[in-house]
Amino acid sequence: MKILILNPDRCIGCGTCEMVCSLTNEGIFNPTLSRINVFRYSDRGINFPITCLHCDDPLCSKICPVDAISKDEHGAVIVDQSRCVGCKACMMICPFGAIIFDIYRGEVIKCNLCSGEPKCAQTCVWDAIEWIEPTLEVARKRREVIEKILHYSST
Amino acid sequence: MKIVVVGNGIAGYTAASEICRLAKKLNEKIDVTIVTKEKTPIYSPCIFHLYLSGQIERDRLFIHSYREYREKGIKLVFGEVKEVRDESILVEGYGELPYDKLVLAIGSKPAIPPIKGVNLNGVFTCKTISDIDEVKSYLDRVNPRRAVIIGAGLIGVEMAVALRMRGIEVCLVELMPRVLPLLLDEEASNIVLSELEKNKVKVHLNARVLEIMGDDRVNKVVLDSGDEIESQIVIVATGMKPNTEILRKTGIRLGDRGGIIVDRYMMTSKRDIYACGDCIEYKDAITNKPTINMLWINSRIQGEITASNIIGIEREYLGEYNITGVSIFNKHVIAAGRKEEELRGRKYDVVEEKREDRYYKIIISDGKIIGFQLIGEFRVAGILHTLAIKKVNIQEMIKKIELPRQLRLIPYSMKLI
Amino acid sequence: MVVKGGYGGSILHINLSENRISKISTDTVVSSKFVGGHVVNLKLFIERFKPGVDPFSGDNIVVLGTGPLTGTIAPCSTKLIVTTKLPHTGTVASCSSGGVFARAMKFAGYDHIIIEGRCEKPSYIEILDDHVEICDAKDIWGKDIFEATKWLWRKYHRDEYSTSCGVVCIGQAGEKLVSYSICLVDLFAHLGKGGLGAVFGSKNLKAIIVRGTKGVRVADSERFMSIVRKVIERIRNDKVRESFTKWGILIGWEYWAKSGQIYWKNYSEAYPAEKAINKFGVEVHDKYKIGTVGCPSCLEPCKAYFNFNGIELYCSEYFSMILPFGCKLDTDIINAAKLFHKANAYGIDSFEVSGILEFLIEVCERELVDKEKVFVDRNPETWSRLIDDIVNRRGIGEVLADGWSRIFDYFGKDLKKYAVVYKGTSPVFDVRTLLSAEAFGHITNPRGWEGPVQITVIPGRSVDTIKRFLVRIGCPDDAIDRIFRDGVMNTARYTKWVEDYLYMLNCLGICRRESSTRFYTTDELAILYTAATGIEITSRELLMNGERAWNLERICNFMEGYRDFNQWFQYPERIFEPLIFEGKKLEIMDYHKRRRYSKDEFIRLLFDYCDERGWNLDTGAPTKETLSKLGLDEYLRFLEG
Repeated sequence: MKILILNPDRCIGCGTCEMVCSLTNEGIFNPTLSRINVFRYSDRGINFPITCLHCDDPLCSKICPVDAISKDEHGAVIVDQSRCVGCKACMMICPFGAIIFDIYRGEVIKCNLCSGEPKCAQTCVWDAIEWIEPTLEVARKRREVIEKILHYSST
Repeated sequence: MKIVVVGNGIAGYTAASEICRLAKKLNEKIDVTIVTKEKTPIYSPCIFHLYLSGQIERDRLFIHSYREYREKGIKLVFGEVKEVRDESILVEGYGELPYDKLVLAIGSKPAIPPIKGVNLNGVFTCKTISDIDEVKSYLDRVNPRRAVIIGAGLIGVEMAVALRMRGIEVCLVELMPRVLPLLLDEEASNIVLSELEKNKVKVHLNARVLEIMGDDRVNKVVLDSGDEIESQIVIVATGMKPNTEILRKTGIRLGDRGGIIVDRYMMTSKRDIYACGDCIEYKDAITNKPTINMLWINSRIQGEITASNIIGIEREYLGEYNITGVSIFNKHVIAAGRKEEELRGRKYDVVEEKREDRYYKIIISDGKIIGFQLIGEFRVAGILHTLAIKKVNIQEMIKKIELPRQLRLIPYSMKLI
Repeated sequence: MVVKGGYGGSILHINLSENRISKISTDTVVSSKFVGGHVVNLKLFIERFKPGVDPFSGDNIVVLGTGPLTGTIAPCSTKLIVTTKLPHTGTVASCSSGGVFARAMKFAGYDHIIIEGRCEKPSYIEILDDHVEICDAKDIWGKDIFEATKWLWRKYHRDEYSTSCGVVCIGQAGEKLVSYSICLVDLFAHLGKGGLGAVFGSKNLKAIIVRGTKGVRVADSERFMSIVRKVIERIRNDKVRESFTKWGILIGWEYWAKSGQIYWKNYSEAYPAEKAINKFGVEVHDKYKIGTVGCPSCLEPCKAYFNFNGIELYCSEYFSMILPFGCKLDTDIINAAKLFHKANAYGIDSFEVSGILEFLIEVCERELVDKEKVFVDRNPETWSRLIDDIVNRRGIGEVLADGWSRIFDYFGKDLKKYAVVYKGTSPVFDVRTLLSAEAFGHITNPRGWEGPVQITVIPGRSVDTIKRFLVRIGCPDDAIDRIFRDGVMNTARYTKWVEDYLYMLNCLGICRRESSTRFYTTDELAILYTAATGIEITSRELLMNGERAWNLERICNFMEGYRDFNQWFQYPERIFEPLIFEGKKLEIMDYHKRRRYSKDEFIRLLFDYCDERGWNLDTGAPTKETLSKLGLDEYLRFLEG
């Protein structure tokens, strides 16, 4: 089964992923409604794409007081918008800050993996977002990248 | 294996449904029954205030239908548990219910202070769905002009906001010198106070209610200062305590505050009896000290771990989270871990900044984040919380980084420097 | 005009003197004739323009604009165009830059912002979607651009909106009305050659911050995306993508160095090639580059963030540092970085400052000025000190800050022949090295800045390559014939079409860099425009928008008083003296180096240019027929009088 991999070292901060995400999900080009966000630290030349990494055991799902968050058949952690009351508890617990509040709906929105074919990964020219089979190699490389950027070994 | 779960809150429901799910996966035959006093399917007390304010309809409070219980294979027995014995429990109106494993998810109940007049008509707590139904029908019937809410903790403040949004005048009475005294230090608390007052919630701090007065229903609340507040509805929100009275004579070990003491496998001092939810006492994920943190997420996680251990897949509980979020009109507060106030005498660092629309305070001790208070910040909360519970040494992290400001690479973590 | 998407929707009109803010609906202004960006800037500007206006008065209008493709997924679409009367050149011209600002403007719902008047006290403009306010700038006035921008970023939580929050900011140079002060957009893009910084400063306007959360819709997203996907695939398969992003425009450094395109000694000589490559080439660049920075929507970003032994150059274009400071001073990269950092912090134009200082070096060496009044040598310390003096208007800096006319008044008008400038601007290209549109375009450009930088920026492009390029940009066949009919490429005629193409890109909001535009054909841009807005347009009509913009800009300058061919087409005499390069003498030849041009022959090229444009040879301005043909009849009246 494929997973979404983010590679910040390859991200150039163009934000094209934000555009294709908001277009696909909301029908408009609008980064504030995109479920993936690029943080551009242009005074450091570093760019970070942040989106839901679809945890195996998602904390957002546990904290939701109306049980609106679950995992679908693609492994995506999804929000049942009809149940969401907009309490923002999931936003506060997500370890990646990957959940966004849609001020128009009054609900949270998050990456739903576009039903198994994530558009951001398809569009990213620099492979900063990849939709690939996780192998040990991939996991190791990912850790290397994070460590290189953070310069520390995790506890 | 016959498993009985006492309590139909999120802890009990999660334990029961997880047991069923795991049993099905492992092809094990089990029999799961939830025993509950309330004749409703599971509901979410966390969103009562959204219902009272009018933001959501009543049916949204019920998050799983009876049909789901049936589909999962969970049996329901309605009745109050009168006695907990070694191999069975005694349920009022039903009789004896034997078990192989027992899960006590008996939750908490309001800690009502002994105020004269607290039993008058028009004085409510907000613990159960029937409490809320009573409040709602009272509001519709009586159309109170002013409400007094006793206790400016999480529930009190949420109720204050909810009733204010209905157009009712609200007075919040708090014993301590601050609102949200258990969550926030002074600075953040003052911001909340301003926001409350800006929205015409009158707040009495350092105030105690002497008496609630009225004839056929409440009409006045008298404070120790001598102030008399005319009011037609009173909500008592002075805190919760574990609902463990019935366990007093069972030999199940309880903590000082009445919480059931469990080990890391959620087992009580009796071998086949587990416990999860508001009723337990366990170590805090950040401080490792024994605590009772009555939070939805803790109940969920505990329910899952209980279920896993009952089925035979050993899982350890790492500790109770202590993170809360509350919306007060235009300000959203998130608080976690320790407050600065609790750290008298200990060495710690504080990273704090107040701006017009945002506030944050991060408390670092021995190089690790042990608490934070945020207003208007969301996405950084989860990151800080994760760093706190994983006990990541922030100072070490900073030292190993070439440019100190490179810590900004962690989105939003720039606030740590 | 019924607009179904693409545009932000509103044109913001801010009167700083009266603190009045109003909005016009964009669809009352745009059409297939005036698609947006540059051409609409001019339409809005010309209605309000008072010829002869003092650039520093409240009556000088500033129009900021961006195009209908900005804020969409179209790659390389975040161009900001600013039109005003510039103090350094005395002409009406448009400045352009990338950055996040243009995009943020669209997301906030604005296609254009018209600013007039001046604030009573130092202020900045805050635009948060519908909310527009003129705020007190007391916390940032007097601060350098880095500090001021970061203050604004923090206040408005830019990190959470990093692709939809933008800042245009001036430094102390703009505040002090230095004639060649500029703005930085989002700290990494330069805006305003010709003194836009001073225009802002004269309005007491420190910065504009815009943050938009509304987004941009397109009328036919399927059609739009089908073109965009093609363009993205081309970029994905581009063989030079990785190296271009690694080195930016430095990728052409060797070509430039070896063909003698790096000038020093006040444009009398070209810098030795090997030295240029060793001192500033890719090896040196790689040593100091920390990370790549680009405009949002750009898939091949060309800028970077450097750390030169502690000097952090925020997202600078390396190129803009090594040309004006590195090579002209013949110094090392660290000294160049220090000067560039200083120039950026102050918000002063590196090229202009180096042009003035090189001029002073020459006149000092020739002993044409009193050494007591001014002494400039080829020494980074001296330059650093003088830049401080200019920005603070201290000593001789007070004179130098006011630009060329003040310099000539003070030191003597006979020194004019030593100033190698085009309408007051120091060039980056020179026709003696290569007769490209880039070099020739200095003469025709309204502010004397470089001609459109496209494929002829480096030498050696074959005739076929150039023809293919012209077809791609939408140049009609008869024009291509005219360009090549003499057997030798007629750069003047070629320049006209590339200028129109550049201005057309400015109308859409698409980046002008050849590295970005080579993935689009004009046909595709026309389809994108239609798919976005619902307004039908052919590629011919789209290119005509560029031509229209070019003509309108010339009309503004005609109104301003530039009614004579020689008055408008300015060039320094030095281009007719040989350029010394590695022992060789370079003189004006055609692009393919087949024949020489004498001075007369070169000037006849300017006649060819006017012919290609349909401009009058006496006035160097559009004829009535040309304006009619372009559908600009309503502006005919400006040609009278």
